Amino acid sequence: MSEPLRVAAAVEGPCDTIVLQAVLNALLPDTEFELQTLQPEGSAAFASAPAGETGVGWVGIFRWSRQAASEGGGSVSGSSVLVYHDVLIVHVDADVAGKTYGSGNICDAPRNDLPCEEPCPPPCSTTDALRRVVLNWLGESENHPRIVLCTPCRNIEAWVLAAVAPDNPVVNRDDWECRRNPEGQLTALPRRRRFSKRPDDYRRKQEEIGRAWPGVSSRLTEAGRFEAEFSACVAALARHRR
Amino acid sequence: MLESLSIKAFKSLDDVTVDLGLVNVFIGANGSGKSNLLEALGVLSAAADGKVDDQTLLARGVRPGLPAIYKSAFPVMQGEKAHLYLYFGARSAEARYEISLNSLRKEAASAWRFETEQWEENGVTLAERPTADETRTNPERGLAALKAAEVWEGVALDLLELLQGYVIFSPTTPVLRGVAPETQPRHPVGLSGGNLPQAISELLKQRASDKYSTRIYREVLELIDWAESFDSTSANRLSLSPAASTSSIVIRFRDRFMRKERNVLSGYDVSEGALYALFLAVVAGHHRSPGLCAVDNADHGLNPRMARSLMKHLCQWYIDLNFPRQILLTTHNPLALDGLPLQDDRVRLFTVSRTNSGRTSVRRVTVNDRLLKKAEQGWSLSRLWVMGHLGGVPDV
Repeated sequence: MSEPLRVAAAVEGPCDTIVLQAVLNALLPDTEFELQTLQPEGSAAFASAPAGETGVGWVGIFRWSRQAASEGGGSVSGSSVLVYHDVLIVHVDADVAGKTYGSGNICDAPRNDLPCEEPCPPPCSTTDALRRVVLNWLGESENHPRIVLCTPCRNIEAWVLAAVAPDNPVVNRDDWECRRNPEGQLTALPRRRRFSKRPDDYRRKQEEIGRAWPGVSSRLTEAGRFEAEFSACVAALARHRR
Repeated sequence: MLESLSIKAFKSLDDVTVDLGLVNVFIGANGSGKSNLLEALGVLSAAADGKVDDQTLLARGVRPGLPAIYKSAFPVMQGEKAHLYLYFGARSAEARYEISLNSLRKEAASAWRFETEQWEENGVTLAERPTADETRTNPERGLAALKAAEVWEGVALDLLELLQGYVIFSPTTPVLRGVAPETQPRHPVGLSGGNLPQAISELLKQRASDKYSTRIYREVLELIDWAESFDSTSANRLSLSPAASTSSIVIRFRDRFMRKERNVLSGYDVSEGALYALFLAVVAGHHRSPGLCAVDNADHGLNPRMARSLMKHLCQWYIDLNFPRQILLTTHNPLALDGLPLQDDRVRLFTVSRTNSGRTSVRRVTVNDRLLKKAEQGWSLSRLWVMGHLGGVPDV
C-alpha cells in the first residue's frame, strides 16, 4: 500500500467534518487518505467565554487561523500543520460574509474586512470576497498550493440538501446557493426523509451525500470550485511524489 | 536487533511495515491499531517458537482468537491483489524470518496452520515451507523452531530467539500493588506486573556487579521524589493488612518527609506512579528481561510530567545498555512525547491512524528543520500532537 494522503481540516462544526469526509470519499475513490480535523477544538470549561477559546463556528475558524498563522510566523503555510499533512482544507460558510467582527466578539481582526457580502447571484461575488478575508486570517497573500478553501454558499447544508433531496423544488431552483438559511429546508422535507443537523443524523446520510456528489458539484458553483481546486491540489501532490 | 516488521491482513493492519529503533513509541487514537501492531509481533513470536495457539498467544499477552476472525476483511483495493493469508515478517541486518498463516480455521482449540515459512541468514535459507507444502510436514508446527535445534549460533538464531522471547506487558495497578493475582506469570515480572517485589529485589542485587543497575536505582529514586529509598522485604516485616498482599515479599519504600521510625510504606500504600516507574525499571534493567518486548499503555497512572521524565530516563536506559534491547510502547500521554530524544535515530516515534477505508497507517515522526524551527519558537512536540498537527488524534 502506498502512503495514504494526509488531509488536515479546519471546519466550522462536527457536521461539516462528516460532509467533508463524504465529499473526499467521492473525490478520492481509489486513494487511501487520512482526514484529521484540527478545528473545532476547545475546552468545555470555556464554552461561555465571549471570545476566550477557539470553539465552533466561523469565530472558531477565525481564532484557529490566527493562532496557526502566529505559530507559522505570520502565515499558516509556515506552521507545523503542513509538516505532517499533505493538504489543509479550511472551511467557512459563505453566510459569514454577512457577519461583522463585532458580532463574534472579535477585536483583533487583521483587517476590518467584514461584512463583505455582494449581491447574489452570482454566488462567486460573495465567496470571492470571503476567500480574500479568510486568506487574511490565514496570513496568506494568495492561494497556497497545499491549502484548499471550502466556501459553500450560503452554507454546507446547501450541498447536503442538493445531495439528499435533489428533487425538492426549492433545492432545484437556480438561486439555491443564494437562498438564506438553507438548513431550514431540512425540516421542510417529507417526514420520512426528514433529518436534523446533528452528527448522528449526518453520519447516516454520509454515504448518500458521497454518492450524490457528482450531481452536487456539477450543479452548485462552490461545490464545483471546491472539487476543482482540491483535485488540482491532489494531482499536483501526486506529480510531486512521483 | 529487529530492524523491520511487516504485517499483512492482520486485523486492521492490511499492509504495514515499520522500521524499528531501540525505543519505539506509538501514538494514535483508541482503535487506530496500536495494540494490533503489538499483537501481530506476538503472533510472529509464537510462530518463531513453533506453535500458534491460544496458549502461546496468551503467554505473550496477545488476546487469543481464530485466524478467520483475525484476518482483515477489507475489500481489495484497485490495482492490488487480495491477501490470501495472514502474513508476518521480521528482518534484522542479516537475517529474516517470515510466515504466512492460513485463515480458514474456524474451530477453537487447535493451532493455527502455517502456510509458508522462511528463515534466512545472509540470503541463505535455513528453514523453508513452500506454498504448496510437498514435504507434508505438520502444518501446525513451525519449521524454524525445529531447525533451530541444529543451529548453534548466528544472526538468524539471534533473530529467532529475540522473536521467541517477545511479550506484551500490560501492567495493572492491583497486580503491581500485589492485591490481585498475576494471570500470566513469568520471570522476572509477569505480563500484568506480577512478581514485582521479587524482580525489584533481583534488580537491586545486580548493583553489586553492575553499575548500570545502580544508576537505574538512583534515577528511579529521583522520579519518586518523596522516597528516600526502596527495596523489597518479607511481607511479615511490614505492618500490612492481610488483604494487602498476595505474595510473601513486598516492596518497601521509606518516605523522606516522615519521622524515621514511622516512614516505611509498602507497595500497597504508595502512588501507582511509583509502581509503574519500578515496573519499567525492571523491564529495562533486569538481566533476565526480554530482549524485545512491548508495554501497552506505558503511561498508565502517571502524571504528565512524570510520564515525560520517565520516558526520558527509559530511552536513556535502553540507549546505554551494553546488551542491546528493544522496546515498543504505546502511550496516550502527550507529555511522554517531550521525553523522547528523537534526534537520536535509535528512538523512534510513530503515529498510528486509520485511513478512510479503515486500514491502519503507521508513520514515523522525524525531526526535520521545520520542526526544529518550531522548537526554537517554543513549541513542544506534545502541544503539536494535541493540536492534531502530527496526526494520531481522533476526530471525536
